[in-house]
Amino acid sequence: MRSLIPVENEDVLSAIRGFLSQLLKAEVVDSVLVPMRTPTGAVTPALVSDAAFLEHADPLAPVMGLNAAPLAGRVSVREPRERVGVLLRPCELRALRELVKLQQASLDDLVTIGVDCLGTYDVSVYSAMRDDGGVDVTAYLATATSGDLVAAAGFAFRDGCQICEKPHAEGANITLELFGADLESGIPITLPDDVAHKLGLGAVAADRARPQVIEKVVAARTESRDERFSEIRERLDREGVQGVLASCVRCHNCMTVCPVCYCKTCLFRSQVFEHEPIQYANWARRKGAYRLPSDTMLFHLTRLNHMVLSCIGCGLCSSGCPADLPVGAVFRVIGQETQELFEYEPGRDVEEPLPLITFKEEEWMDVGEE
Amino acid sequence: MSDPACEAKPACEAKPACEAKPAYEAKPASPEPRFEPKIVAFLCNWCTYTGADLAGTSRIQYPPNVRIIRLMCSGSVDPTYVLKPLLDGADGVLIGGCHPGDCHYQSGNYKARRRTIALKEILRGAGIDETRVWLRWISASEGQRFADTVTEMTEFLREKGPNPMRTEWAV
Amino acid sequence: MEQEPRIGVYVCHCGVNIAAAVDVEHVARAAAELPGVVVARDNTYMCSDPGQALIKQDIREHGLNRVVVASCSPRMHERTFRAAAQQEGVNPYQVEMANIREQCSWVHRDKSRATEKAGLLIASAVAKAARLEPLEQREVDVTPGVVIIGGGIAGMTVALDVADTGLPAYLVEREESLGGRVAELNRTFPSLQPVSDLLQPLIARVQDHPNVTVFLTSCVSQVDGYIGNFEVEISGYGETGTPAGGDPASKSGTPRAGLSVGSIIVATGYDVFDPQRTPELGYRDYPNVITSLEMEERLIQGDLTVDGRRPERVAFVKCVGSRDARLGNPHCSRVCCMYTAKQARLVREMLPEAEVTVFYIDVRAFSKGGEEFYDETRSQGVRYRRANVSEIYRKRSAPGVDAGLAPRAGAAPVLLVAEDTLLGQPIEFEADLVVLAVGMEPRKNAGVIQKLLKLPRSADGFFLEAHPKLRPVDTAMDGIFLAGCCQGPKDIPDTVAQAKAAASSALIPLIRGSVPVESASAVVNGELCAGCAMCADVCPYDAAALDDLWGTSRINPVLCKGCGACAVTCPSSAIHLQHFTAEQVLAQVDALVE
Ligand SMILES: Cc1cc2nc3c(=O)[nH]c(=O)nc-3n(C[C@H](O)[C@H](O)[C@H](O)COP(=O)(O)OP(=O)(O)OC[C@H]3O[C@@H](n4cnc5c(N)ncnc54)[C@H](O)[C@@H]3O)c2cc1C
Ligand code: SF4
Ligand code: SF4
Ligand code: FES
Repeated sequence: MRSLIPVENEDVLSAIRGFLSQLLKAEVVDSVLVPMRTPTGAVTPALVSDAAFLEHADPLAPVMGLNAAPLAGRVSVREPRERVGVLLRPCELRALRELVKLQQASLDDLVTIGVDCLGTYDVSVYSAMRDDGGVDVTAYLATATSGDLVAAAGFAFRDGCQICEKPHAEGANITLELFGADLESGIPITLPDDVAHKLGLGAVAADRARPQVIEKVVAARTESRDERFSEIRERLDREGVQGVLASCVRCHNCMTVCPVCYCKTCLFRSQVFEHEPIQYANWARRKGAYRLPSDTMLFHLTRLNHMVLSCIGCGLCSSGCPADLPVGAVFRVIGQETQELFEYEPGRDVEEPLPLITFKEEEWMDVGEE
Repeated sequence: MSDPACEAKPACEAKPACEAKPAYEAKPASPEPRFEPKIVAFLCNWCTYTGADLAGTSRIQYPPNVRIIRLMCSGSVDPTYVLKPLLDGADGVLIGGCHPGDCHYQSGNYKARRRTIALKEILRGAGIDETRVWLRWISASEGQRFADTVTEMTEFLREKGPNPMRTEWAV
Repeated sequence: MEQEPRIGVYVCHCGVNIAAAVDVEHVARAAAELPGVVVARDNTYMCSDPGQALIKQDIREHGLNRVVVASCSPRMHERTFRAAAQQEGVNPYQVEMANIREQCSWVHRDKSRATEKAGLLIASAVAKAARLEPLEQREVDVTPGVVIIGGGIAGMTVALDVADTGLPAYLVEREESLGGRVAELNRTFPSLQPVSDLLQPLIARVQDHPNVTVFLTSCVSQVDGYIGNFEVEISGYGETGTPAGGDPASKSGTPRAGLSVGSIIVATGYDVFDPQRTPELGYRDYPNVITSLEMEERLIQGDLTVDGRRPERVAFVKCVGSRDARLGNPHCSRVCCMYTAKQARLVREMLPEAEVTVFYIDVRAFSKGGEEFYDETRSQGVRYRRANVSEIYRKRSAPGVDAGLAPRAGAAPVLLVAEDTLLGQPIEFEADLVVLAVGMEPRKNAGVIQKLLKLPRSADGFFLEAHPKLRPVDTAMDGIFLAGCCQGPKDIPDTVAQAKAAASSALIPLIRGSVPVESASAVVNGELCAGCAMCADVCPYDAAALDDLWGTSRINPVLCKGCGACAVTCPSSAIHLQHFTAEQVLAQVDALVE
């Protein structure tokens, strides 16, 4: 059902907080997982079971330091568990679906609340903005209405956001539809009838502006994406991945923040890559010089191998990279090409099987026979 | 490699015939030894490894550039097995398995097919020459096909030249 | 239980098979320098008793805990060396082989490069051996019973031997009756006993035996499984659906039975050479030029007349379609010399007044009593002429031939043009009846069986035995054996001998009741497993599943066949496939890229 969350005194944030606490009070969920503002002004996800704490919730803070999908997985993956409402950006929703396929999350007792994304800042940028006098929420929300997703003057959105052509929330249980909305008069929402009933929300005629605004947003983002892709593709062709990612310091941050990298211990942090001292000497002798730490490109290529088909493009790997490498863009470029081969779109549908665990007997029949 | 006499005649497409010519050896100007590619081959125990054995029992000659590692099934070729030699400077990697429908473990080769296609696409995307990786279905009775494949691959890699990773240290 | 590797390396000369192309002493010396190697030697025949004794002695004296044998394919002798090591207390799974014969010395002529490659293969084997872990041999139960494909003399012999042990034998014959080619013969050499004397009682025994099930006009259409537990589907043969003219494929008709058996024996026999492929010999041009198989039929009928006339001059031409590389048959068919002597003898008996001449390249009087039989044949007046027959034709002016009607007319004699290779002279020879001693060829349907059972064939097209000397009835596929002429030309005694050998080999697992199975299974490291269940998705045998309590994967070692699909799929590398671990394989890669 489509409805409208009433907004009073043009305070959109309070309206959303109110909606979330209503979910708790009406026992639609037992707790909600939302970004919260700490006493010192930082923003971090938290699982909230007492509605009183929701006064600290800040779901509209334009900052993304981590992807909440693995956290949603953490609170849902197996029984016993409670019913949790989880507020997710579109890239987090997609990551969650990949994690469900990988059995790292379960949708059974989750109520997903998708929110259109207007673009987010890196944590460091966001801190700088706060020091600079804070974020102008009204101006930020106004970009949702118009669809001109621009960053605040003097600041830039995260690399990943700038080339994200899927910023609109799709397929969640509940969707807060910010795009094209006149938010100060109410927040358009799509939700199951029974939930609406429990919350006392009535049906409201469809807001016609959203599809057009999404179209506009997607077009603009696709353009910047393609531009970036061709720049990265050109670099990859010229320098190879070993050139593009040459300044990698092997901190493994890209892997740590990646929402779909789900291994408990990454192979590259295991003993397998702790070689015998003499081995390094042998390798150095073989080529004349040997990069240390060893196996850096093997690390990136293996991660590509493991994750690129499931890369949902949140770009947190780039955000997390201390060497400012375009890890995310590299993943997205190669991801797009590889995903197309298997006609696979990560995060689209939990029923869509992961490409490498299925096969058809009759496919690529010419491969191997030449 | 670039014997002008050879290249002049289109009939010399078939390189070995040309190289057999004494004229080639007589040329004092080409003291450089012919480039010998290193090929690491992962062969499934049931088909391709046995096919390679058959090439042996049938005494079918092929270039010694291939170095075989026996695995149980093409479906157990880990991408790392392909990436590691390529990054270390091997010139080619050959994966050999049973023809579709013939895998000893029912479907290992189907999975290997997808996995190899994905891996090659990733390599291509990453700017690493994926044509150095070959996947071939060769049955236990195809000794000749095994020998032909190795010959063909050796020639192909010889044409291509050494894997740049042989000297690229910053990987 | 980490053991410091103590490796012994044994480089085999295999007589000259390896030593001719690989500098074995050199590679043995180089192997001695490899990490973990305690002793490295070369030896003429590692598989011989003294060769094995060498390994055993070194294990005792040097406290070896791993053995690397650089010799033939592991498919050939891995068992031998595993057993030898095991006798001295080394775990059989800590034996590794470097295949420097099939995959090196036999395929490369350049000695320096073959030596270099052998060195690398040994280094790779040593690298793997150093990381090998001891494993326990596992066994699975066997389904008793044997499927035999082909109901000729070979197939029937196998069926009876199997059935006499009390186990079920399933005999699948594509024709309407049993007997194969032998049923087309008259008498056998050297005893000249009528074939029916030996064949009829055999067929009767097969048909009456309570443990033999005969499927006539049937063929095998599907085979799954492994030694000890094969699933075989039997279908109707030659029913509608059989491709006309072409190779009567096995996939035809409706399934008739699904059988579970422990072993399979192939006894599909041979085809005879079709002399239409040598048009110069006039077969089918002249009715008095016939094949030896057609001669058998005439002998059975006791009628040698041509167009009602008793031939006065009978000629036999040997080696038709054999020993001829141009025709793709460089092999000797082994029976033609003897059956020609036999037929010549019988012709002499039936037509005492006729002149009987055999044109031959060589006489190879195989089999027991063969040479004696040949001598006797000559002493009875059969003339042997060493001559190559190059053409058979009929002169237009030949007596009894109307001009213009030639060459069709029946009994008119034909002319054999030959070179007498003793005199070195061209000769011409007139004959009223010519018998072409056609050789043996692989069955035209051999390709179907090959695909169905994944059996390799040798260059001559016959099925390939696992070892030409030591394992002549085994194949590359465990649990599948060869009997009779499908493996190569043979006479009846050799066919029966091989059939009996195949029967007893096939019975070994059935009588043991169990077969050793893949001991190398996949194992999950629960601490690394993230519980994604991808391994369970890819396992073809449902061996991997998430544990309800821990949510991590567990692999059932009894179901696991060790294909390794799960290990490759698990991104956490939480699964390792025993005996082919990533650590071992990457160590091999490292040794090979050097
Ligand atoms: C002219 C001639 C004369 C000979 N004379 C003598 C002699 O005097 N003494 C002697 O010792 N030897 C003689 N031989 C040799 C003798 O014929 C062979 O040794 C013998 O036939 C071999 O028996 P086998 O069972 O291996 O094959 P075969 O006799 O060929 O029997 C094979 C059987 O398998 C069946 N079969 C084939 N394919 C299939 C399938 N896909 N599915 C089911 N069934 C199948 C066939 O129909 C056939 O019944 C002679 C051979 C020739 C050509
Ligand atoms: S694939 Fe690996 S991580 Fe996933 S369940 Fe299996 S063992 Fe565990
Ligand atoms: S090795 Fe193969 S059979 Fe064994 S558990 Fe893994 S996928 Fe299954
Ligand atoms: S066993 Fe050969 S590909 Fe699987």
